[in-house]
Amino acid sequence: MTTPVGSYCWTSPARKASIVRLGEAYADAVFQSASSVRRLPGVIAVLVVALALTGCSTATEQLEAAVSDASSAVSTARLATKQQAKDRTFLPTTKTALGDAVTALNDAAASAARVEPTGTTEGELQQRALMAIRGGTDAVLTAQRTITSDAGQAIPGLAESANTLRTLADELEKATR
Amino acid sequence: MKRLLGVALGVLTAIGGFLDIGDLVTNAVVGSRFGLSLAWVVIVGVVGICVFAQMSGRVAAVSGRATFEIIRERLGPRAGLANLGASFLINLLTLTAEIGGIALALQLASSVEPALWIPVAAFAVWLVVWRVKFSVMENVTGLLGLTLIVFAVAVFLLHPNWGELATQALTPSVPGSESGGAYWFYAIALFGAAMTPYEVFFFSSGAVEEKWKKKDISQSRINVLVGFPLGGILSIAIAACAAIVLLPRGIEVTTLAQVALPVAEAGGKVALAFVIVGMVAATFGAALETTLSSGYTLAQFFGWSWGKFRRPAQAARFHVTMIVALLIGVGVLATGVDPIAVTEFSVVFSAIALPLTYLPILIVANDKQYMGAEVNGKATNTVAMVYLVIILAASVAAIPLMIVTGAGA
Repeated sequence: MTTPVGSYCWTSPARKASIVRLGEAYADAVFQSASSVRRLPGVIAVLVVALALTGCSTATEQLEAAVSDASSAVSTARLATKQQAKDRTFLPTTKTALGDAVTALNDAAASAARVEPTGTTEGELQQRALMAIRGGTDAVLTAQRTITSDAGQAIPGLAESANTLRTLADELEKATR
Repeated sequence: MKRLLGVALGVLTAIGGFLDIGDLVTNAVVGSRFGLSLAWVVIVGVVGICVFAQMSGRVAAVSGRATFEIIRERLGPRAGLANLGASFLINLLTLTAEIGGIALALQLASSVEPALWIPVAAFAVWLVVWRVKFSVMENVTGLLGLTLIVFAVAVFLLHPNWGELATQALTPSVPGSESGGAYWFYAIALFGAAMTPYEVFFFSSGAVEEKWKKKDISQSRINVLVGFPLGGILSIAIAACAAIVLLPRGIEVTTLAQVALPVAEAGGKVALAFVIVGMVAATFGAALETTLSSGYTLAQFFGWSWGKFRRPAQAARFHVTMIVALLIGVGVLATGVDPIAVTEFSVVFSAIALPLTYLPILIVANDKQYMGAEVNGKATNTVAMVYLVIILAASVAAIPLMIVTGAGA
């Protein structure tokens, strides 16, 4: 395994996007409510902090972050679905957990897709990451479809996807050390 | 008997009112990533908030005036303005997070999108602030927030490996999967969540709202010194639940639904019902407190008429400030920003602003002109000075750690 040399962003792209959105949201809110340009320094400060938080990291680290986020999302969906199958939770709570998992998986897929590999090895890792994340998304979508009829049906798929993602995340983590 | 009931009610509301969205999320995030290795920070934070909350309550009871009014008078408008700026902005960020938190908690019970709950939540907060008596508002949300005790019950129902939990808590270390920077970043976030500035300003203004006198100081001390530590135990219970259920499964908390999963695992639907009610009550109560705090800080600084004990027409600017603060919070959330991300930032920025909040309180509490014989004793001042050093260190380290760790990523 080669050590990646490409330099990108410190944080995962999903978190970076969230940080910048937060900065922009406050800038919008302050501009809308401001009665004068005296608030401009405050707005600039908010954006500077938001931009400062978007530091740099390697491509493999970004892939590792995306796969870890996906793994966490699928494990959450698995736990929520198991609870639903055992009738230990409310349907709206399970639906919320599964909806959140889909959102997290979409963010992870977008993050992994944005990574620019610096070589063949990283390109292959990116493909594997994207496939594993898509597998996780399929498993969670299946759980969403079957949750009202037979919640237990989706559990094996979720378990398999969670294991795949966890293994890949561990592999990527070792590669970044 | 009546007095005893009053003390019990005060303690119970202090426990229930201690937790807000910042505590719920930060403790669960920390538990899912670091186990109980940051439990010591909660203890440090709870002792700190006890020291300064009882101090500001005493200032209000002795002088009959809220802390912010005196800070401006005692330290002058310039220092007061720095205090106001920091407190007001952090408070606004916290208010935004709390409104988002109400919406997320209601989603757990309804599966209706938070975006639809946000305006409803903000309207409900305004309605309560406008119509409901201060004591009723405080007691109802505080007592309903007590249902979060289910987190402590869940820890027992989950039959954890107590030895492992004790080892994590008593010999804190950075887990192999985490960096030292992230550990200290979350230590500061937890500290900020425990010592959120609005709690102190709300406590002091609430003392004026409820017309505390010198004779009420002992009761306020009991409320703080018993209620807040018990609230701190609930914080640790949230982290413990996450450490027992989520950490071994590799689940890192990024949503409120994940915070509730360990409780459902432990106690099924009944426990989950308790936790959802508690989450709604805790976030709603904190939204009321932060909304009021936005009005308190601005009105007290500018010398406007303020207080829920006055009719809205007699404190018009106080009420307009609160409405504007609520609208800004809703406006920010309407952009689609993740309320959990807002929460994470609010607790870290709280830590950054802590010195501007707590140093002036310490100065005022030592001023004989305001406090007479009730000035701080040597022991209180020693502890408070130690805390000022901790607060300053946390404040200085927060931004560099945020940048280095990518906000704890």
